[in-house]
Amino acid sequence: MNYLMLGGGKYSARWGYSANISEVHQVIPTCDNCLVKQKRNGPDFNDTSDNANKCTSCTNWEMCGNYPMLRTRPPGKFPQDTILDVNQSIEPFELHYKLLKDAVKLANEKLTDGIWSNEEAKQYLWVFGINNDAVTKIIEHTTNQRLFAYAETHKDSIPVEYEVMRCHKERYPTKYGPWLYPASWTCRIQLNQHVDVPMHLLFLAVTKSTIKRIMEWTRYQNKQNHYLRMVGGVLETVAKLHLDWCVAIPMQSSKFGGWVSENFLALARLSRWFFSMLPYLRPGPEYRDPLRPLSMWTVKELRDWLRARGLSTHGKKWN
Amino acid sequence: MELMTCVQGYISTGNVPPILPPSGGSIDEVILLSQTMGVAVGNIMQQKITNFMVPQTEHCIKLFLSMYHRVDKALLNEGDKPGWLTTYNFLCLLNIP
Repeated sequence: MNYLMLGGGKYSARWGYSANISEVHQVIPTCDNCLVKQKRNGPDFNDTSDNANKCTSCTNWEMCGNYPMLRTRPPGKFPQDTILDVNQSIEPFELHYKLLKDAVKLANEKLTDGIWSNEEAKQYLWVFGINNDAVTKIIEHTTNQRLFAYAETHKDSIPVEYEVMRCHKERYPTKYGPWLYPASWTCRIQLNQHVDVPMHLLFLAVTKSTIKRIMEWTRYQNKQNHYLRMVGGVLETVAKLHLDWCVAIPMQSSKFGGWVSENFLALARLSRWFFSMLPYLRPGPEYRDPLRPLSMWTVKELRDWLRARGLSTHGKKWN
Repeated sequence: MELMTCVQGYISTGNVPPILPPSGGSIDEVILLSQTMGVAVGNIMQQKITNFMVPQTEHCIKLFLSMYHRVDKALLNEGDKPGWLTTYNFLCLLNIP
């Protein structure tokens, strides 16, 4: 366990980086001008060492570096003494285990000295993507240290409390010292060497999401039925061949129930084949409002009516 | 929200919004998206890595992400977050090269 937040954290959407991406997401994707240059110049375009050619409206998917537009406001209770910028903003940075250890060490010192409140320490460590489990333990350890130091100083006036804490410390000495870093933070493997498993990342995540999005596009274009028939046909044909390197299974609907990584791998292998047929998709029957009285409409008809007009379809027929 | 009341509200006031034409990005963008996905995945899954492959793969991933962003943007409703932001795996692709 490495005590790091996964993609759910506000500052940890991208593994190995700390950045409040949701606040700056408009400037991260390649802008139209840069996309044209990117297509024309190939990999040379991504060389970010030349500051003169840096775009001022996008970062071309870069998450850190010298981009003032990536700077964001720190969270509410972020300790002010750690912000170096005159504009009181923080910039994204790449995470390393040494950086994490330094952050924990600083939080530990500031908490023990009573300079930071627990909330300030929480916000500080949150920016580094350290998870709640670790933060709770760090705060517990520093609280123990502080309380024990207080009890020791005032042991004449609070002898019972001091004795209880002393016994507890004797029994659990590690709880009265700095929080011990997890083993993964101290081994020789660096944080950026722990990448996602490519099979899962590419096929269960990216391929699946992209194909679902294209499927949604066909629905918006009123061509989903033909698309499903076409893809289903391709997959069924390949499935009959029983290829171990391309385990295709027929697609029954727009859901992928029972699909596993190797099925998405097959889908990725075949995608360029069946997507080449996209221009030949025939639209389904055009939407028409039901002619029956409104009180007799089904939920599907109500949703279709709203969807056809670009309105929200969430909710029940009756409350 | 109550769907029946909502539809009834529009119909009874005579303020029925028009049926929208098919939405989403252009078919060229969707085809380009599928092609860039294939190329990016193909580059990442290469068995042998050369010095040239690293910037090449990075380029392919960025192109794919750009195309995904374009197609996805055309399908979003107002106030929705982009798909590459809600599914963090897309950003993690950039860690591979």
